[in-house]
Amino acid sequence: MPDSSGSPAHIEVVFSQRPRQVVTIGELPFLVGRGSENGNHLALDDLRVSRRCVAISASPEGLRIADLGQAGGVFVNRSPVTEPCILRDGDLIRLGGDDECQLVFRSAAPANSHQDRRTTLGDPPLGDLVQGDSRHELNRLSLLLEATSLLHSQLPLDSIFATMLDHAVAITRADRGMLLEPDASGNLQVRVARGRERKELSPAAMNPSRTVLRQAVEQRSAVVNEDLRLADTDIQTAHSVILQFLRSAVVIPLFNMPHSGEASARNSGQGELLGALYLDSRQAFAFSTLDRQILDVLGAQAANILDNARLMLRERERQRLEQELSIARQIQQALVPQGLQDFPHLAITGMHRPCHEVGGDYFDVFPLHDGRTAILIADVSGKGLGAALLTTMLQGALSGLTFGSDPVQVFEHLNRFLCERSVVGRYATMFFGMLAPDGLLEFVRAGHPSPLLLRRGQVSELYQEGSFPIGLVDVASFEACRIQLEPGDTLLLFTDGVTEAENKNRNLFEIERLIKALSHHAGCSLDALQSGLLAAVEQFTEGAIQSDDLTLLLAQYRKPAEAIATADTGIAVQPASLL
Amino acid sequence: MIMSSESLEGDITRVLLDGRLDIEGAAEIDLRMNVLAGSAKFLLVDLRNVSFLGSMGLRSLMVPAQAVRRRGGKVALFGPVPMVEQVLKASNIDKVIPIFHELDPALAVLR
Repeated sequence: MPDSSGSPAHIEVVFSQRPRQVVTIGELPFLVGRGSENGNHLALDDLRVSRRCVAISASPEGLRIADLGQAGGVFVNRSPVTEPCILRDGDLIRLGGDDECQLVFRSAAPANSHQDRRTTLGDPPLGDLVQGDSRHELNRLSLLLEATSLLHSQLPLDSIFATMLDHAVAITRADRGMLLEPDASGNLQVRVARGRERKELSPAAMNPSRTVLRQAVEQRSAVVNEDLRLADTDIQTAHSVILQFLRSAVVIPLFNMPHSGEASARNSGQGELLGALYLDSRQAFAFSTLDRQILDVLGAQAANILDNARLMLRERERQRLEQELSIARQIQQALVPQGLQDFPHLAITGMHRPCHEVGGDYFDVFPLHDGRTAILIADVSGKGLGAALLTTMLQGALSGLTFGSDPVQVFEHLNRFLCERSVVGRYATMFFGMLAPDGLLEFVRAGHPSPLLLRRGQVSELYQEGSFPIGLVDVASFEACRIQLEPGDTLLLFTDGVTEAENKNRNLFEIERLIKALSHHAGCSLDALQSGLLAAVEQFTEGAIQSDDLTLLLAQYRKPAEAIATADTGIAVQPASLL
Repeated sequence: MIMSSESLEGDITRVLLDGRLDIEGAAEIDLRMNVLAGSAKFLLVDLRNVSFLGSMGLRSLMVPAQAVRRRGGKVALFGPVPMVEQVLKASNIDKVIPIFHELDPALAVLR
């Protein structure tokens, strides 16, 4: 049964007023009682234990325990042992009616390899910790806690804190250990509480002495209080101290001094309060013999763990946000027309370069039910996820125009919709054009800069007057305008990220440079035109970081006879001859 | 972005803005502008020292301005530099809120 290379089953003797003891369960049945006259293997020289107390014997299910006549009874995990019961690792065996005399059962454990520190951590051999001198304990503790901090990213935080407290409780022989953290208003609140033998305690039920806590935080060093009944003026706490029979406490305030490595640096008056380690005992003067160095190491390591935990939480939060932004960007990119398709009467090319992970610019090109083609560009105010959300909503609302609706009515509806929900905090400028196969362009503008028209080498604006954006002014109205395009005419739709592109001296690219670049590339293919415009902007900005999205859409009207012929059949179908 | 306000004769509140009304500038004045809009009856927004007006900055002006108007008050914009005036006009703001370059006619409209 027991692995020869691991630790055999053993009993930890946890009696009040007595040092701890660890005894291996050797010969079976294993007898426990006062004195050795009755053949007791574990002879406890203590009047609270009956001469014939308990027997641990083998059974097919494992080791089991039987009450041999202990005065006041035997309890396993608070249940009376009326007939032999199977023992499991960590079972608390109480001898008699109170908690004074307890044994902890430890089942046989396989050998822990040196590499398997995690196992060691989850199940620290507390018994070993209390053996040997304090120097040994100290080394052991540092080692374990060092391992704990290495394992941060894998273990849940509270279990790291619990492990740390379990060690602190074992080292100091306290009855309870608590880790306190400041809440939003800076008051220390119990986050994790543990009793002896890794017993989980409810943080809410803890009522640590506020006086001692305050003292420790003010002094910025560990405070040992040997008689709590005298410490608290706070009646409620004092009451609870008496009720819980608490007599002594140790409070170690934790400050972040991650790189000092010197425990004494915690007293230097720097660093932010991370929390406090609180240990108490039912015995007066329980901590009087504690080595100061132990408290310092405990405090330094606990502060280190807490500090790392905070950093880790921040890092996790950052990663989560980044992941969400990247999902938003993926969705947005998926919604932008993929591989812009030419239409029989229209050649199209466009590009969108977001300055952040997600932006508020978008364009779209889609066929309408009456044979016309919708061309639109929009710029949502602001940046980031909020802008991207509104962009997506607009795109959805406008794609419905495919099946026919008056765009002016749709714009007015969207404007009311957004103004009524001003909490959204965003609005959009937009240009929405519908190009018929015969070259008639009907458009609705909403505060968007005028597209540029390149006709026979000359550049002009479609309009000069202003127009209301969508979602900014509640009384806004919109109108449709018309212009006849000639074959070969090219429209450049853009967002203000282009004209407001900045160089290092904070000069703007401005519309004049865009007009110049456009006329300079007259006669080029659309793709060459787009690269030329982009190159002009990049040459101007000289690599200066841009604060806005950059979006361009180029549409060239051409007049195919076939397209007109198919127009009355509904959606324009691209004839094979044009491919 | 610096923002201050003063009370003028005739129940007029004059808000003086100074700086760039970009995303950051807008965020800095949003709350105070809305608080002001909750109480002002006649609002004169002094834009003479605003050197840049971005889309979020425009919103920071329009949301409180419309709140004042909805309560039956009046708003006037005063002294925008050409860049700022261009942004205002491109968004048709001049069609709903008058823009002035002289103080007296602006005050006259509010009174």
